[in-house]
Amino acid sequence: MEPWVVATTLIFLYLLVTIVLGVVANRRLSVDMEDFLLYGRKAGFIVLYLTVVATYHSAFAFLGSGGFFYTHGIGFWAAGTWTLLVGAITYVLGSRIWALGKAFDYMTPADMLADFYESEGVRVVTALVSVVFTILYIQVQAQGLGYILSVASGDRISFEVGTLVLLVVAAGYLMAGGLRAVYWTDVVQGVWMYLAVWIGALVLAFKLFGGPFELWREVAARRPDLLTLPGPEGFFTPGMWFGMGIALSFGIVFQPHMMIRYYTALSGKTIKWLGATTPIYLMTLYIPAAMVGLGGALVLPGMEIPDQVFPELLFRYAPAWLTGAILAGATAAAMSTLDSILHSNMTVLTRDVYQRYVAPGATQAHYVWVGRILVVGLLAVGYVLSVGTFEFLVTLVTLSGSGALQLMPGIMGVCFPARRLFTRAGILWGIGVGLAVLYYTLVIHPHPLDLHGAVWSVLANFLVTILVSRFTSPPSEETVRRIHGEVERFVYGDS
Amino acid sequence: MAVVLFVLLLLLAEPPVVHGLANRIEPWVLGVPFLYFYLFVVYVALVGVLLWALRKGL
Repeated sequence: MEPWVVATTLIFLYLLVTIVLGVVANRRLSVDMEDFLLYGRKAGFIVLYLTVVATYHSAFAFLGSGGFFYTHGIGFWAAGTWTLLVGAITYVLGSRIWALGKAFDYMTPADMLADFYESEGVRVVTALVSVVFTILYIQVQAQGLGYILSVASGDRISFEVGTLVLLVVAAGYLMAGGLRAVYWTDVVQGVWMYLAVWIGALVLAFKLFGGPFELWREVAARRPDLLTLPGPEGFFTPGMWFGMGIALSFGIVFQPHMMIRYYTALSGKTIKWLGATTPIYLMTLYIPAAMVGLGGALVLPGMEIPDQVFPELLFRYAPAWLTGAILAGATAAAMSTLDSILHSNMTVLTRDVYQRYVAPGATQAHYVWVGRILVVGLLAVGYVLSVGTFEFLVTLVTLSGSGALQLMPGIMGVCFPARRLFTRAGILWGIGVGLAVLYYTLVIHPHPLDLHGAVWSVLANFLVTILVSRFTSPPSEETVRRIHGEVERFVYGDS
Repeated sequence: MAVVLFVLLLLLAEPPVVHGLANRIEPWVLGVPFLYFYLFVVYVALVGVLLWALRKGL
């Protein structure tokens, strides 16, 4: 049977599985916001584990990471540091966020920040940051999906049609089953993509080099520049290594699709288990990615688009059934992130905008339906961005990774009680200055002094937040006692 | 204690250590280049600290 038939069939079989899961999730759905948007706050460890890791690792796990190893060498193993940081942040901060969400019915990052800083301005800015800087990921994942399907079908399914089909499927099961559908499909996706990357990398390593250890020896003999820092193109300087660690740990955890997951856990202990164990999956996924990228640099030198190294190697050297299974795994990786971002943007727009300002007294069923309509809108925006070419997109994608990082002072101020408090004015000015510095240090004058722009932006943000807070009014004593009191009860009392 | 240990280990995976002392191919350890193996060990140790904190109920 021809490879494209196997590959396309397996991908469509996988899509069928997700559709069935969406239908089953719909049958279990209670038509209220807490169930539709937050899984009823009942996510157990296994489901939460797999949805977190599946959401974190997107199409980038299949395409981009191999491409990074291919171009910049072993420096991308820095990914281990930021995945370990994600675990630690989840353990310490995520558990506090969970506790506050449970106590005060928070559903979004803006709920928490607006409550503590007593400010609708903070709510609006947080919601804007949450949506604007992640809506681009819809486009990025959708493009990855379109590419995977067109490659898998040997261009028989065009990029545009492939993007649309996969966007519609993801939006469909989300609309049907809410976050329950997202989580259940993420369970399948999390397992499938991990196995797919590992099996694919090992098969290629054995086929092309005689095994992983032989692969390393061959790389050392022919391309030793790939095995030391800063890499062949000088990318992994000390500043970039450190800065990417900050940007890709805190910056990702503070994005709404990750933060909302903390609210959905069954207990604080579930979050701590998550923090301690998710780095095992997240970090070890880069081991086969390294084999693919470094091996690919020897076997397919001079690729115009290094991100395509994994699918190119598969099509040339792997059996058709394996290529199909792995491309289905890549589809899973991209969809697991895409559905989470669609969900989080739907949640923020429904809760922080529609419920708050447009129709405050409507029924739960009404809000669920509004959420579903918003998903259709997001799908349309995502599709247009994916198939069009817009100059501003390049800038926005550059900024999006570190946009949510600007929420860091605000979140730390809520979750870590201290004598000196941040104020709403401090937070708002900090976010504004942080975003301006981010724009300057990522777009106008990238990475000054070789330090990642994200670090400059968050330093500026904290500095301004601290300074402005010294001269402006803090939250009321009552609010501080209520919210910081809850944090202290959680940390020092029963969890 | 767990926080201190975690931070200290993390510093071993950051510059200047990773760009200086650890930034080499030789010696090969268990069939992989030194920098790769070094970072793997540090990452495993960091996971160990998180699991230890969990076990202690911190």
